[in-house]
Amino acid sequence: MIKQYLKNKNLTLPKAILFDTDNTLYEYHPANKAAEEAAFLKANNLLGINRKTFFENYQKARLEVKKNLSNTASGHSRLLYFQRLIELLGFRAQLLVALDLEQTFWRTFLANAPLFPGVENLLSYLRQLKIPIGIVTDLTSHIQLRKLTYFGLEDTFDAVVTSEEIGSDKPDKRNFELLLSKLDLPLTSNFWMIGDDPYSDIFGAKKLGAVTFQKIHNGVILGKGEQLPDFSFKNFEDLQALIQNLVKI
Amino acid sequence: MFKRLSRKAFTPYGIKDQRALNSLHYDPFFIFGFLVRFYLILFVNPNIHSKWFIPFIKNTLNNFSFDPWSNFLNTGGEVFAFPYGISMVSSYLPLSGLGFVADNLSNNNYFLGLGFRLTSLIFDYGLLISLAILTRNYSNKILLITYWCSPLVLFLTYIHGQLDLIPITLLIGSICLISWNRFRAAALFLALAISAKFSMIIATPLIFIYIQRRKGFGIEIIHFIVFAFIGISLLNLPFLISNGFIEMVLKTREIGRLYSVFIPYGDQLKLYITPIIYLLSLYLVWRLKRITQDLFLIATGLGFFSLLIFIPPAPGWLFWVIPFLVYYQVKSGKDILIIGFLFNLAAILNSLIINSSETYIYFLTYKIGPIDSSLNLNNDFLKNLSFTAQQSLALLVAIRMYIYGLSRNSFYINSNDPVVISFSANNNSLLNDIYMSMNKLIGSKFISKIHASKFINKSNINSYLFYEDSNKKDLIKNNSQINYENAKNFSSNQKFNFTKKNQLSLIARLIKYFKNKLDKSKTDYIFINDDVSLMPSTLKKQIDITLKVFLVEKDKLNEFKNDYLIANTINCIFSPIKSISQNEKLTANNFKNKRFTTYLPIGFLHSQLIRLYISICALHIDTEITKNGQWVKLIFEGEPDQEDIAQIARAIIPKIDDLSLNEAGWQNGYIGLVQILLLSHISEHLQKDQRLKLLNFS
Repeated sequence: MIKQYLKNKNLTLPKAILFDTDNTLYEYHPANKAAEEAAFLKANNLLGINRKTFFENYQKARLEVKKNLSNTASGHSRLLYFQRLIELLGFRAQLLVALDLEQTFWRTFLANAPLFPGVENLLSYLRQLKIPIGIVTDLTSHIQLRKLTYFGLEDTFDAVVTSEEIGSDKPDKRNFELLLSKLDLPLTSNFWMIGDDPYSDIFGAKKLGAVTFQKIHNGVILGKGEQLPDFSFKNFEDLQALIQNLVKI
Repeated sequence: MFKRLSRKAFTPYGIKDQRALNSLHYDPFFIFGFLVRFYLILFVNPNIHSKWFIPFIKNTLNNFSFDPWSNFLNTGGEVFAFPYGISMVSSYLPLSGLGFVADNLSNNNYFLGLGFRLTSLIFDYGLLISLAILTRNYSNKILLITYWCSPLVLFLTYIHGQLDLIPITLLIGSICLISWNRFRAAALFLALAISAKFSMIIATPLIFIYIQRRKGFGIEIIHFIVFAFIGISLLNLPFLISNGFIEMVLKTREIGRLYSVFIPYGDQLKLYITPIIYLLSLYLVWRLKRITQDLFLIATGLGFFSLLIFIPPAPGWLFWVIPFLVYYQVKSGKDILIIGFLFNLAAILNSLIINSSETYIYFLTYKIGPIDSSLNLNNDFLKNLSFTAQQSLALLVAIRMYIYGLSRNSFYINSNDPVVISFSANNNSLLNDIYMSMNKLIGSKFISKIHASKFINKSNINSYLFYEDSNKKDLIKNNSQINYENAKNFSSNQKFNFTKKNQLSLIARLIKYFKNKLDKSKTDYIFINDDVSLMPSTLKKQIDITLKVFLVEKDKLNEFKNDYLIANTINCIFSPIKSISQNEKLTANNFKNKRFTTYLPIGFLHSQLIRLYISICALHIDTEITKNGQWVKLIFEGEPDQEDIAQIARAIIPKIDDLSLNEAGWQNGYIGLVQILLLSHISEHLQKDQRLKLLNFS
């Protein structure tokens, strides 16, 4: 079911639809948890560290990296987290181990990140309608492109922008602007933004006048105030039904 | 370490499966089935519960003892009241106990029965979840229709009040655990099932055969046997000193049913039908050389159906076939739904007509019933007619399960023939590495390496087949300084020595050898060092995959003229990354830093392989389509980890669980890719519908 929050919006078929990736096209947290567990098991085997030590230091490393690289794509880099983790644990720069942990993390992450039901159908329906679709996402290009490839969506989107291209995470409006320019659309276009994060996706896109849709599922809280979306939905099937109705009109 | 990682990081039940399982609970059929159950639990108190089971449980709660059977008999209880073992008693005690306390506090006589029935609901739900796990790639809706909304399940458990649901749930749980390779836990579940109802012992040999066929006589079956033995002993042996246990559980009148159908042999001897049918069922499973979960469950279901057909009607025993029938219905789709539904109705009708008990159903304040005795007839002809209807429908279902589930199962048909993998390689050590890696992955029990030198004596033929002449030995020994041109032209030079006379001799020897070998062997995969083009046509039927392994790319490799080869040939080329000019010396170092090239038929495997290789391994891959448009050439650079290979294999090989692979057997690097290619071909071959071959006029 689609819920509308801002009644003054007159909904029409958009010129383009922008999608966030993580926690929007798939559920992020279970995949991340499984991946961290796999990385711990490997670290436990390679370095002999226990669970408590691993997760405490991993958290510390993550915060340090995020603090140093605030709001940039590299601030999410697991390779940097693991490299710093190894340093915090008092080991020498064990580059191979850091690379191994990163590979283990992402391999397990992908295996545990199935797309939400209805995503593929919606995207192929939008392609049928010839509505341009794009991805605007944080994190580095390499892993985000790997994810899209793993999902089998490598040929689906018309354009992809990662925060690495801009040098700053969402809600920096340059991310959205670059994607619109890649889609050959003016900034004043009627476009939709679909994402889970009230701050980076909804607030960020609203600054450019987008019609915003927040994907709600486990652990996602509806935005408030400036971060309140125009619409929220739980299932992609409902979103597709909404678009089908707009097409009929 | 890898095994540990794969067990923990890749749970047997992934997030995708968990999501499918969660979605089951939002299906209208689930909600409907749950509401019906909820109503029946609240408003129906089956006669056999109030007459037999509840008094036994109440007595156990009143006078707690580790020998509840003797205790019950000593207080004047009926010997037929609770013919079940300690795990059944233990299962029903907690919630019944809470109900018992609630009854005492409220001076009521309702909550003990409610707690008892709620226990049945919990196991009922457990069986639904177990079946959902076993049929995870198939329709949840059909599962809910055929099991959760099955009139027979609702009738037997909540109206008639049978308890066979509990041992069957434990048995299916044991099978689930086997499919996850949790053999010790599976053995304990089996022991619990047997302890709950001793008749479950008939499933034990079938499970032993299943594990043996999947894993051979390895550590897994030893773990299973040891834990099952310990479990069964602990749960049963202590009670053998109890007269009550012996009278109520072991001497149950249900056992007598097994001997009630017989053929009289003269005046004195009887030939019991049921044991014969049971032995035939065992043989049916035993003769499956390589057994998948599908085949095992359908064959076991057939065994239970056969028993059901040849024993006098026993409503509780009907429950034994239900999970297997549901499994078959889910797998085969809508085709058998109507027959299954008719069987449900016939079994309910037969149970109502033949068995007289007085169960009442309450609709709000209205009392309906007694439903059983209202239909209880004294007319023997009608009783026999009803029984015949039930048995004939059971027979019809069993026949369908045999024909469509077993005898036409592609895996069943194809696994009876060995898969022959022909090797063609110009590097013996590489070939040996590949063979060893497959041996580790599949298990030596299933692989036989046939070396042509065992049956070909002539040296020039040998040299052609294996390149084992003096030049070849030099190639292996002195590979630090190999002349590229010599290596490249090596095979073609030898080919000219191969005379027609020698070829006839080879064919005669091959046919003789294979006739003996293939008739007697139980081998599933055979590796032959040979060039498939030399094989006689009779033998070619046995050859399914040709693996050509080269150290350098041959000219015109993609120009195959033979259709058979196009479909089944895997070309694996391990070449140096740096291109070698014709006059350049080839050094060993070049091969260490190599890339891997393979050709796959258009439409087979390549798009998935490319996607997974790039996304999982984050390594480089080049692709191009060959000039004849029939092949995709894949060039891999950078060697993937063993764990990457395992994950790609899991995603890419259809029904990989059916192959019972050793997870630790996956190799890193390009050998791992060769494993994936070979296993994909083998899996496709085993799943290939044989009937489609008839349509292949070429």
